[in-house]
Amino acid sequence: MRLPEFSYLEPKTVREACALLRQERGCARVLAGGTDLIVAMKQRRQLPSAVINLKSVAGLDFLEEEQGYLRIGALTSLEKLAKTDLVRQKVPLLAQAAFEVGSPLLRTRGTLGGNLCLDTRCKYYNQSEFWRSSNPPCYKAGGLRCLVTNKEKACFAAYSGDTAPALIALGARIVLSGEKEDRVISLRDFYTMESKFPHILNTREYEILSEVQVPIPGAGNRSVYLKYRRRKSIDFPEAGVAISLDLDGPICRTAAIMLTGVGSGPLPVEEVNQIMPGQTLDEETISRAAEAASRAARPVKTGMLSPQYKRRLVADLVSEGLKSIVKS
Amino acid sequence: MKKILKVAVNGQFYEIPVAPNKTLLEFIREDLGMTGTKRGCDQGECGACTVLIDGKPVSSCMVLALDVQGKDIVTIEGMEGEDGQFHPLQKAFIDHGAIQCGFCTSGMLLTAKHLLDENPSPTTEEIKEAISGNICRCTGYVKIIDAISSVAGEERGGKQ
Repeated sequence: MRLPEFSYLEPKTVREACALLRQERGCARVLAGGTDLIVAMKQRRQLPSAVINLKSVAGLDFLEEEQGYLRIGALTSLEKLAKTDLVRQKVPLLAQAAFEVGSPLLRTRGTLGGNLCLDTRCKYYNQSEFWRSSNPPCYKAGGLRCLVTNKEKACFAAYSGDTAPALIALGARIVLSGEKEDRVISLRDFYTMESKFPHILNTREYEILSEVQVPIPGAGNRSVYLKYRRRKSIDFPEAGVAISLDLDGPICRTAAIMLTGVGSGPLPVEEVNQIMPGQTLDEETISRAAEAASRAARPVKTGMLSPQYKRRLVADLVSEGLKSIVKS
Repeated sequence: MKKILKVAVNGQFYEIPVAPNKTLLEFIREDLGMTGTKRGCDQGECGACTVLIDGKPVSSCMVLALDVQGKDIVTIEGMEGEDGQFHPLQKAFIDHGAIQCGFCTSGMLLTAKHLLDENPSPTTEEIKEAISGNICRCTGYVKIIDAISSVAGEERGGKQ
């Protein structure tokens, strides 16, 4: 598969990159690791007028601890996040989630910023142009209807990022750089929960995600990221759960559980805020949390597994995750 | 519009005009004529197109050629020694019958080379993890893992 033609731009600063995005009037795409974008272009799902390579911008690949936060440059590779001692010790949940992305070959190339900007996926959308030509285009590909649900102007493609649920569970924020200034928002607000345009940079075209800031969890924090996929070595999650608990001895003080692969964005299990605080992690609390997660999931048949199966899967993953925390 | 790509491949410097929409894989196979690097799935899943960029294994089908400006690339053609002798890993793959159809072999060897460069005595689990992005459709993984551990064993002092 040849790539379509595009002009290749190498800005020296983030501001210049944003100016180029404006010049191209939203038809350009930003290249970080390329593991998502290059495939999308080969499959003619993305046909950008220009590709803006962020790797020509200096200073976007860094890792440092500052005032209780781990600051991570957007171009930091997933391999580095998974292997660096600073991340493994201070924010083990992120190291674990980064390690679960794709294969070693993809992690070497893939970046944290790119993983957070990952497009949603569906069996009718993530296909070659030739494969897709046997159907009318789906809503995400510019057509009228969703081919999974047959609904008009609706898309249910699954958000399948691994690092976002972990980072949101930890309360991370991100820096969005514009042409003139930067702004900091919570990572949770980055996602629109709409499958066609899963994050705000899809619609606010002239900003770039330049940095991630993760609050370093306290000593009582216990966390785990569990992911189920068809092939253990390379696939996106069919379902994934990120769990972050602040424990005071055996008592849970605060709990955050995030789901991936089962909705239009990283999904919070809001109910655990009522279920878990003040409780010990006994069997009843674990099963109530697992049921709540199953209810919070919004699976649609965008892949090989049925929604019913995915709901069960989410409950089992949450239960397994919480039990592993009890054991540790 | 083509741009000049300056890159070192297997220790030799090249300065070649390249179109932006050419991948590193296409550049190596078509412009340099080195066909040892294989095109498998062409979308980053199979690892047949693995090359080393600055020593690290990467799927070359997912990298724009212009994106390796100034980098040091090693392909399977650059794996043998200067005297034309096979790399110990290449020899071990032959001795253990770790090559069936041969399509994954270039990628497997380069990934294994990177593993042993970083970690001269990996455990079987570490070998499995390292080659998990390189798919062998003949499913001959046992012999591949045996071959890699035999070289790791030699470096540990002759024991497997």
